[in-house]
Amino acid sequence: MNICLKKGDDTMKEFGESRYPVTERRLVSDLIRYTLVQKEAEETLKARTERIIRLQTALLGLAKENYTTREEAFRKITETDAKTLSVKRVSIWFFTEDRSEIVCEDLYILDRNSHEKGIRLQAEKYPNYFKALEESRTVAADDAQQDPRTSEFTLDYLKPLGITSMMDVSIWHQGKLVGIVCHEHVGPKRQWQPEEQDFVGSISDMVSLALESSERQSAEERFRLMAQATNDAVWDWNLVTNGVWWNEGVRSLFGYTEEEIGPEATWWYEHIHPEEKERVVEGIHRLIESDGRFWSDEYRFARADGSYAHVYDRGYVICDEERKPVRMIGAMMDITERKLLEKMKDDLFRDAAHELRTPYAMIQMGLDLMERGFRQNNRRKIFTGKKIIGINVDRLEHDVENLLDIFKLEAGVQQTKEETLTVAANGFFKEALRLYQPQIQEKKLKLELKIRRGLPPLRIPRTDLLRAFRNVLDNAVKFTDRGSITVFVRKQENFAAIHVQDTGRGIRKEDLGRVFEKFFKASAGVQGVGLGLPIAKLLVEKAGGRIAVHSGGLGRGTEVTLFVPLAERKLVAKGREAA
Amino acid sequence: MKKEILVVEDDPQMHDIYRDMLGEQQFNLTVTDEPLRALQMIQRKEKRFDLILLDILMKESLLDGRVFFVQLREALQDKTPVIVVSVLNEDQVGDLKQINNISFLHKPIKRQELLSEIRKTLF
Repeated sequence: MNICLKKGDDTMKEFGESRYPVTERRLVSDLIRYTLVQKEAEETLKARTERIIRLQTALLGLAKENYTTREEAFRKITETDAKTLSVKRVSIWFFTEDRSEIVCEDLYILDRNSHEKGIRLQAEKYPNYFKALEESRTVAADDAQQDPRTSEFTLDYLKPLGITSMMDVSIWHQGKLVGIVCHEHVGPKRQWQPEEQDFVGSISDMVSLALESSERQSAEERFRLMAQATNDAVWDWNLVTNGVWWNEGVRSLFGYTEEEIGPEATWWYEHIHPEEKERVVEGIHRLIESDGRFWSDEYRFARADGSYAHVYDRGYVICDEERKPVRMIGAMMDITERKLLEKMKDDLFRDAAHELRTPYAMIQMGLDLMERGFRQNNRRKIFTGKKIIGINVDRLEHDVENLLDIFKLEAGVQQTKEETLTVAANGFFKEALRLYQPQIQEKKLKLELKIRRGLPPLRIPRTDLLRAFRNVLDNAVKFTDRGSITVFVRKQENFAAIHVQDTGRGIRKEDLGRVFEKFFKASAGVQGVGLGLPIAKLLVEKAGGRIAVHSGGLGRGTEVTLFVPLAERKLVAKGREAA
Repeated sequence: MKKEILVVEDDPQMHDIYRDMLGEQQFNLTVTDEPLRALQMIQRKEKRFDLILLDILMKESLLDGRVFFVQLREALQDKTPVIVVSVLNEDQVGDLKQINNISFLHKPIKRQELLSEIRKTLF
């Protein structure tokens, strides 16, 4: 403008000395002035247009970019911004969560072509500045050190860095002021043009977009990681195309390959148990159609091997802006094991009730028998009644003990600290077998105990070994009606192998694999809850040992072997002394 | 003439109890702890029984118990009455109750209870 006026003055001078009359001269000068102003306006317009085009091109370039990270996006934005506006320093700042500070996430320094980050400023020191940013989108301070909106920075920041003009624009995200894009000009003061102010507005929008996109990306990433981490079969169902995405879980849980599963929801329908398919599919569609959000159901789902898993499936419906359901995300949890446990618990209560009722009934009848014996002065009846009561009191005690044991062992309840952790074999087995003498005599069985000489002590709490051994022996006595029971203890590597052999009923081949299952009873009609072997197994395993069972088949006897770790050498010496 | 009773019971302690409860009465007792042996005796008509006292365990092997029971009924041709003694309660016994000529006693049984049930069945 100044230049133009000066030019005009020169021109006037030139014409002032001419031979034209004053009025004409004035007319001409007006004309010239008009032409000049017009020319000047045209030039300004041209320059502005060029500038706008340059700014628009820069924005378009930014919009076309495809960033992988938030950091990359911000670097690109500050760089483009600084180069387009020729501003020395362009930076992006964000409030901390508690809004006490603003932190610089990226600062681009034009003449060094380098990025910096990490500077922190305390928000409370600049109240006027933030107030101004809340009130208007852009704060353009041509004279930043004097402008009341930015002068709070003068001493600490502007002067040391030689910043003369500032143009800052607020970043809004989800309706909140979250940060600022700063333009700091160094050198002679700069007048910020309206189109430049518009431009930085668009830059701030770009930052918001990048924020949104990175948030969406990290949410997707979180979802992907969660889907990877879980054991559940996670599904993402596109309700518009009927396509379904499954995580790895669906393959590991049910044993299918990716090709078998395919991209369609129909695969899911087709693998629901035929008896439940209608209910489940109808249920989920009813929920979607009735604008429901949460769905869950329990059903059986076919595995690749043809068996069925019990699953608990739940999902959440996602709607578009018109509240139309477009997507559903959910997860299938395999609860087969839990179902099995529930069934086992039911069986336990049923069996336990029955098992406990039987000895109780026997005691009652034994008492009646004794009573009649007393009335009739019949010693035989008194004796028989007493014997029946005795046997059944033992049996009740044993059953209740076993039930409590299995609960405790399964729940991992620690036993009270054992006084002896090692057991000398000789004395132990003799004493344990003494308890069975009456039963063995009554059944007229032969009982033999063989212990290899020099066997080191066994490393297991005494009561645990006693319970394990008794549970094995109980079975031997219970299932052997004639013949013998042999207990043979020997050293096998670092273990004591305790063999309990009988000539009893034996176990069918197909039942051998099941004898350690809780409540499994190979032969019906035999007393007991079916917990003996499972308890023995848990107890020796707790000590670091194991259990094995062999049988030649029905009628061919059974051999159960407990492998119990032997004590170490140092302990061996001690154990010998003790023995 | 003494009535013939077959006791099928796999718990030897119960044998003593039945002998005590029924021995001094006008009954002849045949006691076995093997259900299949009992079936054999009936099928081969080794002896004629007036009443069967059945005390087989019918818990998780309810099916086995039932199979045996059906076979027993066939062998008896529905004629000989059966008293089932068990710790099962009413609903566990289920549809067995609807069969003719069969009654149930719940353990523990009392001597008087058993005798009156037998008399009701036989006379």
